[in-house]
Amino acid sequence: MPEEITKKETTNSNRTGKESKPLRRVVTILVMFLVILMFGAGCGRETENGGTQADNGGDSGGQTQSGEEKDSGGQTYSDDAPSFTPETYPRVDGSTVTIPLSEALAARLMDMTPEEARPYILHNKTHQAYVNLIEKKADLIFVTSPSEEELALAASSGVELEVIRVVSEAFVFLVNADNPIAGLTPADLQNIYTGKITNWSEVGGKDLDIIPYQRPVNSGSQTGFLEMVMTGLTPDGTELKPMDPPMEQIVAEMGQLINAVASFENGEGALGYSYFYFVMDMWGDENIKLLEVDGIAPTPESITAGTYPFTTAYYAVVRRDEPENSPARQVVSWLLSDGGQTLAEETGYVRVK
Amino acid sequence: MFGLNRTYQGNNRHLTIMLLITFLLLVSGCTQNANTPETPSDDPPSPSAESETQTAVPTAKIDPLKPAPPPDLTHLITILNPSNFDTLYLNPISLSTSQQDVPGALWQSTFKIEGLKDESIQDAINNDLNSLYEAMEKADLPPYRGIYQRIPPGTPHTMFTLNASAPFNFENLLSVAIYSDKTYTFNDPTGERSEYIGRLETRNYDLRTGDKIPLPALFANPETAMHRINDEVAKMLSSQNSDEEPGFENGLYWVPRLTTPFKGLEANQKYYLQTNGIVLVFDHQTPDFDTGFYPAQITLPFNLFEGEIAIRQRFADGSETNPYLNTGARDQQFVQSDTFFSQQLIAGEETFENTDFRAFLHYRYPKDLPPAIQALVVTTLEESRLFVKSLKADENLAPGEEPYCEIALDITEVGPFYTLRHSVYTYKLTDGVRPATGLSAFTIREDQPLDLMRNPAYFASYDADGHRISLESCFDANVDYKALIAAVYNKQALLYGYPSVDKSQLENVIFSIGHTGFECFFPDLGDYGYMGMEYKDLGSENLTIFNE
Repeated sequence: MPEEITKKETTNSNRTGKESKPLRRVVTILVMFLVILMFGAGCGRETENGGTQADNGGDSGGQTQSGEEKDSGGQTYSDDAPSFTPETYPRVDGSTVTIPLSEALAARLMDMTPEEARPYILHNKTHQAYVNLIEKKADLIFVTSPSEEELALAASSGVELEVIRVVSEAFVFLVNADNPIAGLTPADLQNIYTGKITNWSEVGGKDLDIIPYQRPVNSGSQTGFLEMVMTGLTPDGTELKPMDPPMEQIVAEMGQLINAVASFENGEGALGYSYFYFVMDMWGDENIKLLEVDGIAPTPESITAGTYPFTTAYYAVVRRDEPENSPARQVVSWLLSDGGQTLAEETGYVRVK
Repeated sequence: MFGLNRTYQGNNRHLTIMLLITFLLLVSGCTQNANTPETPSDDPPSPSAESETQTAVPTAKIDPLKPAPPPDLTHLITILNPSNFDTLYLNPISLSTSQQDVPGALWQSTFKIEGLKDESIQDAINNDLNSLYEAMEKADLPPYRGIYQRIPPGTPHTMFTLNASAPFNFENLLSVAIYSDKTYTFNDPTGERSEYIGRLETRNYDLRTGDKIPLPALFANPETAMHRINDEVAKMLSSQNSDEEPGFENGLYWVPRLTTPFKGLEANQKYYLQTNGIVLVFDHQTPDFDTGFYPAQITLPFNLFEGEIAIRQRFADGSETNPYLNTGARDQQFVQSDTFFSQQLIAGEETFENTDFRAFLHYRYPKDLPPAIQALVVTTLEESRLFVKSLKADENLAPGEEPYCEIALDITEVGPFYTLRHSVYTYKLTDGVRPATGLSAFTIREDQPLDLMRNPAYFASYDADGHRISLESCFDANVDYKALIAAVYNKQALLYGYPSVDKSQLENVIFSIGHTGFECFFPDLGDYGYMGMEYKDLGSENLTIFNE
């Protein structure tokens, strides 16, 4: 029908304004055409969001729109965005910290706003995401690297995981903005957290006790701290172990008070740690300072380049037997493209390249 | 299009009309589709419907579930000397509650207000509440993140519960919190499944005008209010490790989790008031937080903002005309101090060695107590320790019976007063299980003095200098307080089925000052001796405790 209308429109286009009746018909047809177009385009997305038949992708599983490809780190990645509908988008899962990335990605590839895409993206947190991937309830997860437990579960289930670095991350140390210390070395940090250095003056700062805050046991940050910072052996050959952290009481459910690792309070002598993603642009960041480590400040550039010492990443993980051009692989491929990396950067993450 | 009209103006009125109709159809068609694919017009049908301002066609009815627009704060003056407030004046309105119950499908408790002098304001508030109740029932799935992965879009609910309450009804402000639960039952490859979705909507009205009160208006300086709130929220999120996934040691699952760095809340943040502070609500309208399919809440106690909140000055200034039909004296109560807020607490638990039974001493009290009250705490804790050490278990315990002692000390700030509660529980555990009735395993208990240790629950109130407050001193000298107490006791005794009393039976009272009333124990009344007495029943005008 639209084609037919277009033909009539073309046929009548040479008529003059004086021939009002035919022209009126033309305008009528033109208006109808516009109506149809606008209903189709403007309203169709809402229909699609509502979960009815989608009109841009059908059952084809997400097609790359053009064939241009570029090489990155030994793998071939597409720089053109594949197109999906809610029905064809891969089943994704992941950690809490990667939710904005996942939502922005889904919105971009399903041609939605983040608000529209949000109800379609469910992250069940890191461990459950791994379980869901291994049990084939998810096809693509955005997470931190797998734990020993998760690798063992995959192995026992006969699943091989393919872990792909998609955005960079760093483990950063923070102090009060008024602390004159610019940076520390990894050895300084180990000495502070093992209790060998207790005063900022020992590392070139004020004569002030260091309050070295830690994070709760088994939290993501504490695990990162132990794996990235407290590595190696003491001079007597034993494993590095942080001293007991400052403790406080917190209110649990039903008003019960429980002992917990004290959370960072930005006092003059405080030293804390976090992931870069959560401290960049956070409320009150003018009151804290991120420390250089080995003279390298944690910046998006130094983290992407890997020159900042405590650099890590968030990963896309798929099952190794995921077909070559499956929706999951198409999504990962695009995320690693320049367009995908720019999207990640705009969402608050650090580019992987 | 305009070019065509210019060229053929005058000879084609029909065309113009048709264009107009077409345009309207076009826009309204799309809007309708965007709003409600399957439900009536108030429903938010698409994931974005609630978060986008619809400008295509002005609608007669505003969707009550949409976030409030950014408030205009320019007309709010800065209050230069906001005073701290210990007390709250109750609004003399009544909440007329109605309930609907359709077993298995619907349970709904709603209310409307009565008692405002200006009926148009009262009607406007009641109409607004009604439209909210209705919208919450009819609403499609709220666009929580990931919800369509659990519940297919368009699935109708099978069970709906709604409960409206007024957690704050003071100082000419009325906060309404409406909580709804919906059950969705559907089939998926695993069979029939049910999912539950919670939703919390709030309203905060100025009862003098019917206006909805944005969060910054509660503060003396509305321009800086959000900065202060965000400072406190940031601290709270940090203290709760909100940037960590739950699952770690002491990770609190009810705490909202951050998906991005906390960048601050907006002035149209959803909230309601309680008598202890401001409750912020996080849900699909605050996507920086991951709350699952239920709203999460954070309470900011009023005492975090001492000298910064100006509720009374802004909304209940004495020069205002009384907006209520009831022109009598206003009842009062105290602002509830929040002893559950860990940053303001000193708390601890002690276990006892060198005893042949298990014993625990728990305590918690606010930081920064006046010296006299701090001394009282120290003395009471020491007495408690000595008491535990003095306990000797019965020698006639049966196999499996175990003596057990637990003492709790709690100090609460109530306006200008400090209320101490000291509880001593001594039990005879049977196979490690606490009995339903507290049979003591200790003989020495009865030898203790009447106060602290002998009473399972001892309570008293003190002024900042450590002077214990007498019940008599709480009443105006012209009031026969015993007669008044006896009258209030007897009124409640009727409800509880207690025998009525004479004022001569109310001697030797143990009592404390609470936020909403006195807690009393009359030893001469034995099992009927414990009674709470609300200030509104006693008449605030009869009491001296609210005097400045």
